[in-house]
Amino acid sequence: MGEPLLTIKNVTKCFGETMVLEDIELEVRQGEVIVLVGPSGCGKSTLLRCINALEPIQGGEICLEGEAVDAKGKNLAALRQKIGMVFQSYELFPHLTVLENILLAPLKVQKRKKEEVRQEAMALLDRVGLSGKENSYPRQLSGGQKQRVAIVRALSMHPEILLFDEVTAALDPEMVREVLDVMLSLAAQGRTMIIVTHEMQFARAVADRILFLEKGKILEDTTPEEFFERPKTERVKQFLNMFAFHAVKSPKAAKEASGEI
Amino acid sequence: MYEKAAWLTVRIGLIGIFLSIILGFFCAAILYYKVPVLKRIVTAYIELSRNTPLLVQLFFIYYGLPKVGIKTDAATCGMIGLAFLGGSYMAEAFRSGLEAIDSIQTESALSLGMSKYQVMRYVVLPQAISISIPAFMANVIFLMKETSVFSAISLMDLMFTAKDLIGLYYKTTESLFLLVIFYLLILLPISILGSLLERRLRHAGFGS
Amino acid sequence: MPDLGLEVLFKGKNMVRLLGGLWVALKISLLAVAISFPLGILLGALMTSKNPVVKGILRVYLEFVRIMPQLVLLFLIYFGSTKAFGWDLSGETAAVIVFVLWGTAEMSDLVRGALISIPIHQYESSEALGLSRAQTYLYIIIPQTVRRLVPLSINLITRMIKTTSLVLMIGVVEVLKVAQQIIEANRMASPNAAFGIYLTVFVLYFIACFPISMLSKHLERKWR
Repeated sequence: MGEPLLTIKNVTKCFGETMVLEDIELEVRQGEVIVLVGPSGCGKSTLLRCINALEPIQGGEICLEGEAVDAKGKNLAALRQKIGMVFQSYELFPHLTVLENILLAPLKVQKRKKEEVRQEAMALLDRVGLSGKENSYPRQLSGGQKQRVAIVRALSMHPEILLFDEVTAALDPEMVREVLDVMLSLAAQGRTMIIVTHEMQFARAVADRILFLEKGKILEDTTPEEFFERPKTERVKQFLNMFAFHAVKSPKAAKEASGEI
Repeated sequence: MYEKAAWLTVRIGLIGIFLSIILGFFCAAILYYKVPVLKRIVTAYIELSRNTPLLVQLFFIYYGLPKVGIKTDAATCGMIGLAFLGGSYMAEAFRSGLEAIDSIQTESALSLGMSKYQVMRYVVLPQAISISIPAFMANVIFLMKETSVFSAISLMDLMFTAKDLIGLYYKTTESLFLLVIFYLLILLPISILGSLLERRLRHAGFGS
Repeated sequence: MPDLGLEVLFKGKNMVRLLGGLWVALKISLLAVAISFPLGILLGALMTSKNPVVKGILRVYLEFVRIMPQLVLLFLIYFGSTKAFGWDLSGETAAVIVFVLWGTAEMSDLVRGALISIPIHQYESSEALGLSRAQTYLYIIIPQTVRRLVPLSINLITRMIKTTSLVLMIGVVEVLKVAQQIIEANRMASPNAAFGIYLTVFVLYFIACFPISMLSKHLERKWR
């Protein structure tokens, strides 16, 4: 199978006095799709941000292809090119057109030829259903469209691994679907992805492994089947119950109320 | 007579404003990047220059400094005074422009592998400048208005000329009228330009 | 160490005279504030009226007063009122008039801005709760308007205090004029008085304005 692409060993992170990540261990292989789930504030987004050193870690080590990801490291910019990240708030650059948004980093950072990058960008835009929008500004696009542009922008740097931080949390249901479809097709292509999400059915469909975090610790690390059908810990069972609703207004209850039974 | 005076006002005003922009830029950068020692100096400078009138600053530079060996002619004094006062206002305008850019914009640019310099140059700065423009234009107008005090240090500007004419020739109505007209000529265009820029930016919007 | 000319300060009543000059400046500002702020609030509320004539006249007045340098306005009133109405205004009176006109204009704009910045949802949601118009204004709108207004009003006061330095040009004996007199009087005795005295004036204005602007920042932070 070869060496894992990304290794996270004994990672701890604190915000001041509070420990937000405790002794995190994770190995991600090429082509794997990992989904991180858990209650709010459990540290899933923080973990993602530590992977590309947007947050410094206080203990342990994160290595991409053997090279340590260090907030103060000299090679940080080069490493970040290999890690693509998509944010919940899209974070497109409002003063640039869609095409300019996508071309900026490949041209300035990777110093590639404009024509080559442009063609690739147009092809990607077409694949996500946004051809014709390349000269629009972000403010003219819907949330789902913006997020798809953000994904294309991350892809255009040819990253080894893609990080998704609750990318559909701010979107309307139809737009959620547009974006999730793109992510599903990326997974099908064999991309290595780490996804933080609340969309449980999507998680089940896309993941190779699901990790459950609570209060900065990984409580479970299993296949989707195991996670949803046979969760090992009580906590996970509780968590999954949050997504199940029992009818308050069941037909039986209604009949009782009207005195028929 | 008035034209020459007006020209002088505009010339010194523009140079002073230009210098204040440069000074303001440096100060804003120092504050934004929180450079250790300089940060305190800049903060002190801003408080000092914003809490004292331009007239007092001019008197100090023109009459006071020569006594310790620093002599300046009236015109230079005017420019320095304007730059000193204006620098702090410009610094505030630029700094709030820079800080209005959410840090997460910077983060998304960094995630693409851009260096800090590239992030500033291609992502933060263009947006910050657009956002600062209303405050910037307001400062320009304010500084241009402040040039009216130059007459106090015997600079032959518009106010000086007006005072002269009123004093010597008693042509009060005429000189006052011309005074108003000339200042309108200088200030109205700047003001209108400012409003236009502001309106254009509001339409451009800045949703992400 | 060159002679900084500071010892002049301690001669006789010089310091007191300087402070007296500063008081003249403060007096003018405070008087102007006392009159122009209420007037400005009134005008500001008026500006939100739908009447185009009212709006138009107020607009022209506001724009003119704001675009003209304050010194020009001082000249206009001081010299112009003699010519136009035959009045013989003292420099101080002219100054107060000009500052009232200026303060009212600025204040009305601040009030208008503060009122407009309250989102319409605030009115709607309080109406939905059943509050009457008056109650809405009293409990919801006015407290919020005040919060937006106060820092900016304090900033206006600071600006007024600084601008009073201009009245020296129409003959009012305020702090800079006093400074000039002291320097003249001590020409022989302390040739470097100019440095020390003007430095003192600089510091005096700073002491007058800095606490006020600190207060404003503190309030802004508290009420954010």
